[in-house]
Amino acid sequence: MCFRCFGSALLWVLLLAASGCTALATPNYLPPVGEPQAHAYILEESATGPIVVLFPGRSAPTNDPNLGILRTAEVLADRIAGSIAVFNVHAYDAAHEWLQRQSELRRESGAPRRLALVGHSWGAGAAGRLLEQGFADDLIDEVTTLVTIDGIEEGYLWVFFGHMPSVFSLEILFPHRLCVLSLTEAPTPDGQRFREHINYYQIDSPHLSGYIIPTATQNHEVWFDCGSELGHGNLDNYICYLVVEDVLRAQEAK
Amino acid sequence: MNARYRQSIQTLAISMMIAFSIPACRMYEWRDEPNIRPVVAEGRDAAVENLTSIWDDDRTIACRALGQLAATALERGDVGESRHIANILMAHFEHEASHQVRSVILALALRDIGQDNDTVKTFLLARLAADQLPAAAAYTLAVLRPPGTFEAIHAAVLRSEPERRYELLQAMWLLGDPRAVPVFRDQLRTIDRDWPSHIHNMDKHQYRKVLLARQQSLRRE
Repeated sequence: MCFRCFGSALLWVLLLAASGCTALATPNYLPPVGEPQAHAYILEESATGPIVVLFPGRSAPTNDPNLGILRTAEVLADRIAGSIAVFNVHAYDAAHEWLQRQSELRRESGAPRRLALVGHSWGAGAAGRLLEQGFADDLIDEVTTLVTIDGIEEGYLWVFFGHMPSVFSLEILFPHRLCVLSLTEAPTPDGQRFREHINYYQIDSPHLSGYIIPTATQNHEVWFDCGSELGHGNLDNYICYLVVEDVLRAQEAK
Repeated sequence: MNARYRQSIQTLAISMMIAFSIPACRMYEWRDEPNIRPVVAEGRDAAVENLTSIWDDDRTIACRALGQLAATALERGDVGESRHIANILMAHFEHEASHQVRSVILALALRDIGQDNDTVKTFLLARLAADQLPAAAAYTLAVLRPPGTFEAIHAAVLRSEPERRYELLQAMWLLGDPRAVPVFRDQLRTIDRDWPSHIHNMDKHQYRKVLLARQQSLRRE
């Protein structure tokens, strides 16, 4: 092999390794309950009670002690007897498999299959996708609440090229994954089977604004207007107790 | 060295320059965690030293690292260390100029370590009373729930401009005190007359919708 070919091959290997395209290396197996891993963390499992699935932003390892969504999950696990797990967006298949398992457990015990979903940034897309697939595969009876934080819906290409610093991310080269990450497939709340969608967005970091909208499009209108969202990556930590209360009160309302 | 060999070396060098420059872009979606981890690993003294940095980001990360170190100390039962760090953070708040750093101290670091620390709770109540980042203080108080929190947030709601009032009402919602029901009713009654056309880029129809949704999910008992 000539040096030029070798150089090109090396470039692609390094690009893959360095570009944040972690999905190629992301495992998709279900870890044991209570054992935090970078791609997934199942905090608790039960044959009854609500099912809560949380997806952090695309680059956040699920065993990071500073991760806001992990804190949200831990607080929820203290207050809810049910099944609670956090999955990286790249481990979406593991999340789907886990939801199947929880659904089966409840079907066997005759318990209602109530799901609450939380997703931050690209994780919001994964949450929307799981919501849709959960209904399509008859895995759930009801979604009590979908909480999205700076969710990406329309215009992700523009987000990539216009705003995200990691424009070289090779995720752009994998269209099937963009489908996973798109929130456009999530149905709008009907107030019955899918009861509510709460989207938090951030305009400036000292404020902790909660903003309920039917879709996340408007979030990005603000995003485009402002040019950036300060603290976007950390918003899930600022609002983690609000999200906990959203999930809890949606459960209590039933 | 022949021309072809030299060209190959150049190609390889350029390829490597491009590849190695990519991690310089922040791949972590603006998230602070990758920057916090090494500071946490160096320990408390290194983090405290970073509090004197001229860069806001360094001080922000130092505060978050200190919050994590204190929380870890609490987990292993070292209450003394946790309180010591809480005192460092509160002292730093007093002369910190950056809005962002002050916000991190109130809304994140002290929230995670203040549960069994009356000094932290008193400090937060004082910040709320003094209108020093009252929304951040109110959210943390709503989590820690010391006595007098509802009254403190209510007083702040009554004296604040609508934009801040909006945030404080959300903190009141988070607190879950049934006494919030009439407060929300009164505020919603005055929205059309007294509130501005926009708050945080939301028009009146939008933010009214938010507050109405919050009113519906208030705890009533």
